[in-house]
Amino acid sequence: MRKRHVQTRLAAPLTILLAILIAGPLVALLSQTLFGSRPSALWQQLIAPATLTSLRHSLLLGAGTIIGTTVIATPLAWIMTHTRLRAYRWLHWLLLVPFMTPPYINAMGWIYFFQPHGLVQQLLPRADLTFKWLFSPFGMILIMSLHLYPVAYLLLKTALTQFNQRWLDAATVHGVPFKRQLSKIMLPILLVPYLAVWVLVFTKTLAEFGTPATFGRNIHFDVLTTTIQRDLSQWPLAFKNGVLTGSVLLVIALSAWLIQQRFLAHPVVQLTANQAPILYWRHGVTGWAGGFTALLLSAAVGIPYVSIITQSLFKQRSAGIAAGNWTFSHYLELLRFDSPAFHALITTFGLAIAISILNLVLAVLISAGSLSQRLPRWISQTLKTLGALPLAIPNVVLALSLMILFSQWLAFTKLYGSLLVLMIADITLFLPTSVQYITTALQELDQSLVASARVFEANPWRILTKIILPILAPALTNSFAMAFIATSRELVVALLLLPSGMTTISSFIFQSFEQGDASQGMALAVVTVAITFVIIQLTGQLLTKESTPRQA
Amino acid sequence: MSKTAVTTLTLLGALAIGAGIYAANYQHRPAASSKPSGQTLTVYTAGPKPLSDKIVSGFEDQTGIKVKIFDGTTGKILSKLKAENQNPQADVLVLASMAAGVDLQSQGKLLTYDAKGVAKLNPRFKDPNHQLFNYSASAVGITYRKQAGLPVPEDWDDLNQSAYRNAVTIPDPKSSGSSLDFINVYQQKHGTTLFKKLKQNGADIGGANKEVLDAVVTGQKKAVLGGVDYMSISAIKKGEKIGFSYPDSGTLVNPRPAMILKSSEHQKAAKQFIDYLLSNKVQAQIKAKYLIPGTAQKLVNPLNNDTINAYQVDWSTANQTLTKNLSRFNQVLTHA
Repeated sequence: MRKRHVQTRLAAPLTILLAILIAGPLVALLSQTLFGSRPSALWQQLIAPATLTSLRHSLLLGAGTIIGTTVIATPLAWIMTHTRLRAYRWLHWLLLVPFMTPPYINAMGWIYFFQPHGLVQQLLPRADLTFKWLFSPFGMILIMSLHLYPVAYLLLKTALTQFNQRWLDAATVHGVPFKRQLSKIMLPILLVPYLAVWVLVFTKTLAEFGTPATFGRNIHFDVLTTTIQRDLSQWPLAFKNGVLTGSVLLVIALSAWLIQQRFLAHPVVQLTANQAPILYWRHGVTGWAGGFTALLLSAAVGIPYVSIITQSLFKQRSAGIAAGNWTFSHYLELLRFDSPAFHALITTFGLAIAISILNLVLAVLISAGSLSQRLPRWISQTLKTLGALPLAIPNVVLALSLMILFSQWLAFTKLYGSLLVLMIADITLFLPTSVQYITTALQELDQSLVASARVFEANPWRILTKIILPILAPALTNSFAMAFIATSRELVVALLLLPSGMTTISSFIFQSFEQGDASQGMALAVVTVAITFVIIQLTGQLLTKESTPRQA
Repeated sequence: MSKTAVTTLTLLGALAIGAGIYAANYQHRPAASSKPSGQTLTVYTAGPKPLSDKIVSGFEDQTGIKVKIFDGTTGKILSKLKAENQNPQADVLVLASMAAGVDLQSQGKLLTYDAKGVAKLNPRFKDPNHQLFNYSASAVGITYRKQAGLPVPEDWDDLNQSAYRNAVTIPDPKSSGSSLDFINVYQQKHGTTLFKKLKQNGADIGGANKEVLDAVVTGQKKAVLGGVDYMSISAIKKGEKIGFSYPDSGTLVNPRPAMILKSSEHQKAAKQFIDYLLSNKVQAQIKAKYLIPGTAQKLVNPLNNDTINAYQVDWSTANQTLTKNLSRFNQVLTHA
């Protein structure tokens, strides 16, 4: 009884602190919006053409990208579960590369490829190839879909792997026509994962900053995120307008998230005894699958990378593709230890490691707390909500909210402008992914293992290190890697909250397009993606090595 | 061990060595400049980063004062300043827009300092209130692609020719301080006729200075109207196939003011920094980056030493017309 008391006493302050750090900024933002100006002025601002236009654009982009990612990811998930191609692990990783690419670099790649005098026109000098159709909202949706499809693909792949073929077999045996199989079996089971995909893609598109900031600016397509960033960082400032737009964005994202939470709360169809999906071995199928995947990869990875890499190798970018115009100097520049780009690399990885570790610790505490039976209900419920809520907060909104919280409400702490605020933002943003991994792992943790260990081994430390940690290791490594990658390519938070005298990779690259040397920015981007890819590969290998013997 | 693992280890090893050397360098530096001061000066600066890096490291070596620097466009700096209103962090600002400087001055945020170097400044860059120190300046003009069949533009109106149809871009005055001042001062003198014609010829608003220059360098656009000179000229000197001209009918030479904030807690160091900006050493560094030194007695084109035909500007009037002219400009160029 006493032990339980102590736990509660420890958990309660932690929960309250977390609530202040995660929900506090949002409260600050909303009240700043509501009480910062008179209601009539607020309404005027809300229905101002500029606000409405960016709202419409954001929604259009969200809807378009949902369709785009669905169209791409559905066949892909099927191919990677039902055909010969699923045997290739490297292909799986390669398919995730578009998501690892910083979106603004990805978009720059597309621009350089298709613009007047771009790569295509240099290789095929024909006047009628103008690609006007690409430099349009449609092109933007295409680029966003090709960047975000990995999110949808991962979720759908899991859904298809878990899909039990026996249900369909049973139906076929009983003579159920295909149409009814589709409407009565396939759709109900797949509806939940699809809804999850749509909501996730929608929120991610709404929160996306990089693509609209580069490609969108090129075609004069303002969305909510870019409007906020512009209102906050361009002179003359429109601080109030930025705050209002931030609230609008937050409300939309929160509603999408609430809808998703409702659907997730529905009882999930229990799928008994997993059975591997049937493979379609025929050569025709393999050929089609290979063709589709190759086409997808050449568009989603080929186009941006070919153009970024060639651009980063040019001596003179006005000369274009020509003999003698090639140089490695932009890369060599990065290797000089006193170069600003190298500083940015070190700063970013240092920050990313620190943030990922803190993120992991918090995620473990939150997951354990939300699953615990021994804590009061309000604590575990609050922890559960706090662990999932940041998923609904677009980066730019969180940065803006923290700006308000620390520069006005908590100005006396003098913390604004310090690294701490940036770290709070990054930890909060990437918390949900880690919490999800670890919660799942904890739920699957066989309690009888721990119980028997308690009987035979008195030392709790040994139980932790010998039993619990090894079982949780895959989840921990996974969340560490994801947080690390996400932190190292985060842009908009860095742009708004980075203290003076510091540069991260993403802010360096963005600034190199705005003020500095674009070739060097692109060289740094290539190097960063290479490092990210290696880290993911490494985690993947560690995981397969660790999990295979134990599951057997 | 697989290939990936080997590659990874090599890479990590290289990174670790790099980090080590970096850390060693970093810890070595304060010891080298042995004058202990313990002071840190915070400078927010808009402008060519290589130049500001050079100035800062020179200042650190000379005085032993450590400088924290934030690089950004004029807009980003002002926004950061506003967000930190209750907890000011910056000591010195260096902006790319004179109007923004005058704006801060009129809000009474600047410290008066009788800097020694001011006497050497070009009379048109002197501030009678001793608050804005125009240690350098940049002019705006026309950047164009050198390609067959494209006439060389010599004045603003030349960009209305059909050869430049749908191929002219203007730096966004919301991102670029110098562009903001240019469109404001130009409209004061000549109204909106030019911009209306440009719109009819398919011109549009681009991004920051570097981005619009990039659009011309990579061939996406054929000309920039109102871009800063030093960026284009250094690209030309690097061998890019572009040209830059200072319009015959006149153009804006925009002082880049440095200033000390009243809220600064390191005023002594800040004054030293201003003195350093006006020193001969920095003035020479400015010239080497193709900016106009504040002490230059004649304003000349760095490419051929011709005199630049510069507008006479009254900056306090310019500060008042700013908002109106900006919204007129946006109206003309964004609506058909």
